[in-house]
Amino acid sequence: MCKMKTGMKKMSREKRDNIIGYSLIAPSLILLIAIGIVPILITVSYSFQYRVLTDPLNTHFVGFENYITLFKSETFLEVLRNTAVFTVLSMVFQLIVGFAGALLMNGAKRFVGIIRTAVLIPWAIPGIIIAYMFSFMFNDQLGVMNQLFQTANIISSPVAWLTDRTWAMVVVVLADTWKQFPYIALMLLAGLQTIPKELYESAAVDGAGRISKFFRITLPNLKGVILIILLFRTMGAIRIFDIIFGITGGGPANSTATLLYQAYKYLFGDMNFGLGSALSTIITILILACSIIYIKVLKTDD
Amino acid sequence: MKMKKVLSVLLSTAMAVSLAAGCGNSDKEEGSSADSSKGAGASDISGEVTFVSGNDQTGALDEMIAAFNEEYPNVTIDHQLLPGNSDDVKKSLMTSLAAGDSEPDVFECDIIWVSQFAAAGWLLDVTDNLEAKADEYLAGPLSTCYFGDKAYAYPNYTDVGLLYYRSDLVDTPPATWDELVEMSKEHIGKDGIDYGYIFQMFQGEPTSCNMLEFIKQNGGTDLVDGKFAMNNSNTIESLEFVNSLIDDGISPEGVLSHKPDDSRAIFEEGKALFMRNWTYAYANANADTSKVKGNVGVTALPVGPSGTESSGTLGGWNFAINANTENEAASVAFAEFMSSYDAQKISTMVRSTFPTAAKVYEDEDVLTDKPYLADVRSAADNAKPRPQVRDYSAISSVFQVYFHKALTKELGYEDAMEQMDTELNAALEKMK
Repeated sequence: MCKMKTGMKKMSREKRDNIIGYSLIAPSLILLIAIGIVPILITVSYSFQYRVLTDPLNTHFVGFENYITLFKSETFLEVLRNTAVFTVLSMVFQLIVGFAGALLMNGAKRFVGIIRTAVLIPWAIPGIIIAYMFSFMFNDQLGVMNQLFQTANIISSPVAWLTDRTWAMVVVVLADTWKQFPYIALMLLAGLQTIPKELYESAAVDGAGRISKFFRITLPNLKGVILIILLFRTMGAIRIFDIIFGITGGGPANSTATLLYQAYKYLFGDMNFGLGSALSTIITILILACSIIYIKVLKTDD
Repeated sequence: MKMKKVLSVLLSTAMAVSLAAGCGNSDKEEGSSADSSKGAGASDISGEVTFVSGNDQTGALDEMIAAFNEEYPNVTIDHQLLPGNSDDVKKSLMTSLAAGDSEPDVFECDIIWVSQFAAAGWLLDVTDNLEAKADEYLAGPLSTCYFGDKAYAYPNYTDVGLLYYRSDLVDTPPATWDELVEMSKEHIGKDGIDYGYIFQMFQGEPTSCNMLEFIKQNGGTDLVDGKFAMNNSNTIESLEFVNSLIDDGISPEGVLSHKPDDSRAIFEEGKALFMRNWTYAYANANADTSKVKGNVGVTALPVGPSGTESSGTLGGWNFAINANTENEAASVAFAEFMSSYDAQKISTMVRSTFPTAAKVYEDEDVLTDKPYLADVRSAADNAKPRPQVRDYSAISSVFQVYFHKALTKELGYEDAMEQMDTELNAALEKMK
């Protein structure tokens, strides 16, 4: 102990600070490398192998064969298209609902705490539970939605929501929207509260209406927040899994199967770790690309 | 960042599992013969056997184990129950088997795992032992113990797609598709009946099982002589029939999203005249929670216009032995006993399973307690297994997608079946 102290004294202050700094971040860095970087590298290496769990003695290097198989298969195009549709739809739905929620919370004068807590509830429920809730609500025979719509005379006979390509997609988007809008609403709310009240007051003096205030003051001031939301939600939507798994299982006719769901099917359904890893690698690259684009956009905006 | 973490957790799990697979099993060649138990007296066999099963709340397995111990007092059975559904159980088992663990020694094995596990070299070859008793079992279930011409498991209990009908409304159940349609049309709109026939076409294993049934009822086939050639009139006629059921309102549009429990709910509400379901639905339909309690009949599925015999998809469970077991004699003795008439009788009486040993169907006690077994014997006899290939799940994934594409009319029937054949044969090629 004593020796170390004298030793430390001899070092320059800067060096000592560095050592302390490194040793403080070391545990989290090691953890991050162990559970973040290493598995990604291993996945990439698997993606170049024939590696089927039930055929363990036959594992060998195959170059880009898994990728070629993927790019040639119609399934890949199909799940890519489904993922794109899901991502765009869910983003639009979530921004609209999120905005409504944020404006509501921002305008609330009483029960602020209760409203904010209530809005957060869906976000705290695990995705798989939400998935089963929605699959039950939209069940053609027992679902509450058919009953509600029939009582309200919107539909005359029960609709089989989950057997129709379009409706099935709408239902999974709705479920995801319900889960994610609180997060977006809260981010927007934080953004809203940073907008100086004076802006609205002077706009009011100039005779601006509600709508023009929203488009000329609120939206431009929230641009940064919206971009961040887009960034996170794109990444979230690309890796959508639990909602799909619980509601449609990718059906009808694969119309709601997404990239990660397909990767799961390859990995844990077919036990084909080579093909599954190749698809996982593609997903990782897609998300990296998305983040780079968004970060670029965000930077020029500053 | 968030995504990366999630992905990496997922992948690290994947990695751990497959690393284990990589190093397992290199030291033992597949299928060492298991005839060491022959000739040894019951009291000569001793040791401990670890037995893994799915959840059993009825206590039937404990009774079966107790009966085993009466005969083999020197063998201790360490019975472990795994929670969750069949897929969860499979994942737990695969972790041990792929790592080359000597435990569990014996386990309950879903019939669709047998080929996969046997091909990986994880199961003990029991061909000689089983063949000596082959005539004691029903042919369908017995065939599920085989991979190629070797046997790797003992029959446990069977499951098969059956036709459930409302015995209060229908005297003689339909034997053909035409009769089914006719009777349905007659009853829809009366006595609270909304639908004639309900089945399960959720994109997943239900679609594979149900559609293969329709096809085989109509004289079609799946895997013949190592090739799939399903783009034929038998298959197309079956697809047309299923869609005509939906179009004519005999089946609800929602069948394409239904799983077995969805069908059960409709049937138990008294809204359907006929239902295709697994054997488990019988006990549920006659429970106090069911509105049709006591009015449920069960029989073999009807036959299509181009078919000659009823065919249900075969499900069910076997007993398999770990190839790396350290106590082969005791493990074989245990698996053999659990598959025997005595043990199956307990299982049938206590947990209402459908036996695979023919004698149980003729047992007085059993028939008094479970009279319906006499009606389903022929269905169990004629049931057909799903394709027995090394990697059935890869085949099933193809079935699910293309059957669904045809049924939702996204692709023409012939186009869908042609593409399906191509993909099935390509998948098959990869398994060689």
